[in-house]
Amino acid sequence: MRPLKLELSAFGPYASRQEIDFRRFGAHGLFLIAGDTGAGKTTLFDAITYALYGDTSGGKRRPKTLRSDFALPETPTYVELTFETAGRIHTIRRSPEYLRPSKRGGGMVAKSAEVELRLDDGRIITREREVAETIERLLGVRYDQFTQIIMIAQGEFMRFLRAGSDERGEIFRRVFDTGMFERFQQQLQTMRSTENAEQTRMFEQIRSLCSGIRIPQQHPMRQEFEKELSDLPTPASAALFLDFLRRLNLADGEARNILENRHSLAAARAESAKKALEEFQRLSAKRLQLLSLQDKLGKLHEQGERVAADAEILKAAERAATVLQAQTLARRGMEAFARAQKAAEAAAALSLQKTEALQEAHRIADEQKQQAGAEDALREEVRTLEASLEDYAALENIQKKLEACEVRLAELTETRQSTEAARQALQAKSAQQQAELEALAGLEEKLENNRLNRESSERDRQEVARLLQSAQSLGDALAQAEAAARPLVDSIDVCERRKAEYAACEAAFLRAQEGWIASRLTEGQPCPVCGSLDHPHPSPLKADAPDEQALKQSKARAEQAQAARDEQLRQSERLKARIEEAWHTLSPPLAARGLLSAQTCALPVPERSAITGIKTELLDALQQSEAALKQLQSEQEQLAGRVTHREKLQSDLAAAAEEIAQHTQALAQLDTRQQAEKLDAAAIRAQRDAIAAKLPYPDSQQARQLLQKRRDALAALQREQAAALEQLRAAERESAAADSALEQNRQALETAQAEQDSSAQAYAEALKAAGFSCEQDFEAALLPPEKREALRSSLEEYRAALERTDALIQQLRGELAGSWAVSNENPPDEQALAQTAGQTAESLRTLEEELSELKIRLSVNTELAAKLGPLLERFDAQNARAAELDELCAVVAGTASGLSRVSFERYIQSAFFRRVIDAANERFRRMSSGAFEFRYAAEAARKNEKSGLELQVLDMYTGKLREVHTLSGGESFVASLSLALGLSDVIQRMAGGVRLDAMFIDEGFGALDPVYLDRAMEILGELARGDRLVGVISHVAELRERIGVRVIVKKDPRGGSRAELDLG
Amino acid sequence: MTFLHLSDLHLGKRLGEYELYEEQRAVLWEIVELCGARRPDAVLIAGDVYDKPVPTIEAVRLFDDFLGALCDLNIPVLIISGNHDSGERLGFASGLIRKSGVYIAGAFEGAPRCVTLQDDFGPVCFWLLPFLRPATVRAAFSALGLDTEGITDYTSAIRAAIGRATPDPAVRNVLVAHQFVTCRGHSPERCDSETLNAGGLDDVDLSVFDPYDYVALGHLHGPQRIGRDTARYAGSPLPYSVSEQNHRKSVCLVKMEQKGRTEIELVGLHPLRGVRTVRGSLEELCAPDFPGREPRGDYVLAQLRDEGAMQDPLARLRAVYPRLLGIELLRSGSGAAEFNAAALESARLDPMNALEEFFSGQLGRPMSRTQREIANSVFERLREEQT
Repeated sequence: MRPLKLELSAFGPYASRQEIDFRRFGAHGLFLIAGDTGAGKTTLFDAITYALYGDTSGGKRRPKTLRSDFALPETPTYVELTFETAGRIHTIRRSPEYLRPSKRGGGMVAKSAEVELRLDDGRIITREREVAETIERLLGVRYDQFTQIIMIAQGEFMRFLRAGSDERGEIFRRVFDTGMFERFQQQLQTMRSTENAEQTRMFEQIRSLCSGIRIPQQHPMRQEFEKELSDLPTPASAALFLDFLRRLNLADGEARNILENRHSLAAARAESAKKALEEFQRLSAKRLQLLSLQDKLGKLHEQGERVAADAEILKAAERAATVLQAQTLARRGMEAFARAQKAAEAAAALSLQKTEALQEAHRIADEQKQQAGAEDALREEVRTLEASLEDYAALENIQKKLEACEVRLAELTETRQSTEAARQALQAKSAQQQAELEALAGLEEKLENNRLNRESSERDRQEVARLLQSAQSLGDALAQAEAAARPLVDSIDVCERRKAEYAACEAAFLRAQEGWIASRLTEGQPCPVCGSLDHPHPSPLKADAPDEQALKQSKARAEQAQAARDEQLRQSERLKARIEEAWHTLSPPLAARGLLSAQTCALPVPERSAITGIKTELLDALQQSEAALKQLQSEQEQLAGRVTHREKLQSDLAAAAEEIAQHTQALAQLDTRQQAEKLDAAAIRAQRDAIAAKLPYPDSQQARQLLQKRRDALAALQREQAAALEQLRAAERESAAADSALEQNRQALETAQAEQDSSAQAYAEALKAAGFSCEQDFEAALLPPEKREALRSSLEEYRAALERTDALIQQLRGELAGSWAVSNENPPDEQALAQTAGQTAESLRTLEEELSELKIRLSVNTELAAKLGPLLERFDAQNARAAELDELCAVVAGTASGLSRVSFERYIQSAFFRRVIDAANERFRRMSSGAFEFRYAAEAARKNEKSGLELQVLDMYTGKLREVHTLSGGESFVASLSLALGLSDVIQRMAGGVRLDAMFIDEGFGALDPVYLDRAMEILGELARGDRLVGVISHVAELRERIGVRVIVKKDPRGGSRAELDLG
Repeated sequence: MTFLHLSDLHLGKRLGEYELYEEQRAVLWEIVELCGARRPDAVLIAGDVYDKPVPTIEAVRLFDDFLGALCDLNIPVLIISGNHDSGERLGFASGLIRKSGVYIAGAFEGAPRCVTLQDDFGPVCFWLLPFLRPATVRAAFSALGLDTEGITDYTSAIRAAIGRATPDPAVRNVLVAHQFVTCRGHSPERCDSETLNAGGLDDVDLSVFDPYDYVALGHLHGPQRIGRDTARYAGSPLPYSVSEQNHRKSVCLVKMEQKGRTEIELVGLHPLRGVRTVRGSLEELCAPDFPGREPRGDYVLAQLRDEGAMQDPLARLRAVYPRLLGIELLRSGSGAAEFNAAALESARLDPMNALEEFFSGQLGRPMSRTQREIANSVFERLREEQT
């Protein structure tokens, strides 16, 4: 498909009619559509798609919204595309549904969607469905294939690249016509299900057949039957059944033979008895017949006389018939003569009339000859008038030129006024802005000041924060110290107590020792302590003296308590040291701020309450500091704002100045043109006046009217003359005719007279010859022919009956000669005969019944066996076939387990797919400098999908395969472009394939870096040189430089857009 | 009078993804030194000074330095714009610059500009004609109120343009132009880095330039003559594509004595780095003893002979050839095999055969006779339905 000319009106952003003639591109195959964003570039491609298929690219813009909002109500909306396929040129025109002004009355009326396809052979198709079918047939692709292969729209190019096997399969089915393989698969499956149904049905048939077996209760084989085969058979047991059946038939056959013998004997006996009875009956019948015939003969003889009288009447009637003809002739002759007389009289009258008319016509013709003079005068007048018409035409032309001139003059004046106004406005505004600018001086200084202030404020704030923190920690420490005071005291107490306890305990222990030693003292033995042998007062043993253990415990406790006390003391010391240090650090700055009095400062350790007070004051100071900072911030912002404003004013002023200069220039130009126009107008006016002076009428209207009147008069005159001549000729002709008619009639009259005389004579002679004396006798004897016939035939009948009866009687007498019927002696006994016959017949019948029952049974069963045999065979064969058919179906559909899920159709398609990939790779490799190429993948990415048309990319950076969706935007674009071109290559090389002479690509180039862009441009250039039309929409500047042929789409300031060709 | 004829500098051009400023700066300096040694009376630059209509900053700097150096040597420079330049931008301040001896014909104003230089034998007229398309000539003529009928193609457009200022046959005339010139239908030698107007026929026949004693042409990147010795393409000073790897890059030093005596000397240039192709398997190309490895700094296109899969080919090649332009795969008759439309069609004409292949491919055994019969009967029925 190659577009030749695109015409659109009030479509999309185009308010009026736009035309793009692709033929003007000449030999250039590559063209670019460029222009402002939203101006309507994609709309041009949309228009092509819409014209062909009634839907737009990308499916994003619904057909109902296609009418341009900028269009005037009277402008119709339509798209018309003239295109060529396979050497033939067709045109299609389509318009959507929209509202247009009503032709009668006001308001809008809905105009429905229309389409018209004009084929090259002259046919015009307007029904939507028929158009769609024809377009599909001509182009070879449906709407969704068109948008994948030919019209690659913004953002759509990735669909084919990323499609799964199923979607690709559908595209290929249509494009490579593999539908027959899918139908093959469907047919196989239909076949399988039909055959399965058939199997089931066949088995049902077998079962019902089997149920028809006949075997009566008393049959010798019945028992066997009931034991083995009373249930209806299964497929397996059907063979057994058949076997039994065969045996049954054999037995029954033998029984039948015996019975048949007995039957033939009985039949012979019955036959002879019957014959005797019949003979007797025959003879009696004949005898009765003879008697009746003799009776009939007698009756016939009685009728003889009447018959003879009838014969006489008949003879007379025959004679009268001969005369009849002559009478008829005579009558006719008389009538003819009367008619001839009348005709002669009429002819005479007519002749007279015509002669008179002729005389009248002569008279009129003479009158006409006298008018010739007037005619010439009229002709002269007409000629003069025609000449003057030319002058009038010239006058009208000049008038028109003058008017045009004046219109232009008015336009110029208007333009001048508007330009002047604009300029003045601009000047005023500039002055205003200048004033503002001056007011904004000295901003820089203020900014600097502000900055310094802010810095110092910040520093202050930070210091306050620090102090606050220190004060906080100091306060905490003090609190801690206070808290620790009490436990310290306690621990000291405890320690003392414990020590006292220990001392007491020790003393007790020692004393106890004394007791213990004392207890060991024996009189006369030396005391271990002092050595005395006399022990007057030994210490008593203390009962509740503590032992070593207790002493140890007490010591331990005392030591523990001491340790604890020491620890507490140490902690207390440490804390105190910290507090002192902190205070030391903190107090000077606080004093500097005036928050501390000199005395407090001199204290080594401060009061807690004092610290709290300080903290509060510090918080205040911090807040103040922060507030000050905020204010300074906002001041800075304000100043910055003013700076921006100042800059804007400056730039505005510059721009305005430029514009003013432009306007001034324009004004000068307008003035010159206005002058020129005025001069032109004056000259034309003078010309016009000169011509008008020469003519009698102000305009040509009156002259024309007069001319027409004169012409009409002349014509009328000529017509009258012609009519008179005609009338004269006619009258002459008619008169001559009437005269000749008169002569003919006179002759006819004479002939009629002669006829009449001769026929009357003939009649009289005939009467005499037949023997009638007068006419009345003749009329009386006349009988109509039917009555004569009837008489004749009744006479004949009588004679014949007489003869017949006589003959029959003779015959019968001959037959019965010699039998008892004639001689009437000894008739046999009828009753005895009848009885014998009856008995023998009865016994025969019984035998026959038996025999027939047996035969029926045998035949039914034999038939059954005959049917069952082949049926069973077929059934078995069919089973085997079904299994194979199942396998075939599964393989063709790709559902056989354990195999790759590729259907037969998919397999065929994959061969095409491989070719497409090869073709695509040629370009893909080049565009990516060898970095990428496509690879065919047999397995699907998603396991449960039918596969066979999968695609992967071999990445030369890593040497590994990648999924297509991991490519970047620009890489995907290049890959899709290669695929689309590869696909169209393959399609075109197939025999009878569609010819894709054009291709349209909407954006996508912006994603490419300069290297890729270069390569893509090369590829497109090649395509274009290969006699394809390639259209590209892009905003990339590089493309604009390199593609010489462009369609530039601009937004019109008055609303709507325009498309123009730029052939470079 | 001696002058130097060069063209197609394409400053700012990239080769693949690589910028070439270093090479361009080096070769421009070589030219400056040549001028310093041989002292020509003029330097002609026949178009495509820059690679893009809006050149990069570095390119502009480069050209700035080059012109500055030539001016320091007091050599007049005559420049025209080519199809890659923007004529208007290149011609910026040309009126001012001419006082320094640099004459630029950027945008076409209706007739070629003439710059006359003197030598011992008299005046020599240099006619400067920027790159023209027929539409450009038509537009310029319409603005001047001249007739544009007869300007239908490139030849007629150029003829009309130079017809506006006919050269005096008594003096020596040199034309500087940037077009695709052919001689009696024969095309000159072309290479991949030239961008001719995409999809167009832009031939100009040489006969149009008969009145000129020397025609200094630009546009093609291979240095060559066309039609006669005194009509030359100077060629680009550097190789700008792989197809130029065997060109001998040069500038023309033209010596004109009295009318009719012209001597031409081609002075070779020495690009900093070459452009070449290497061929072999991936392993061969990466091997340390591969003879084509040096000089490693060159711009290299690798043509790989490997049939099967390769490990990290680009990464490895980049490690060996730091300025790799890309790879091409030379495959012996594989995927790019001759397209056999008949083979594809045969599937449709003889589906039974295709089915047999498919079946035995899937199950590893052929179809049974029954299956073959069934398939045949279905194919028959489908064929009948179609007719």
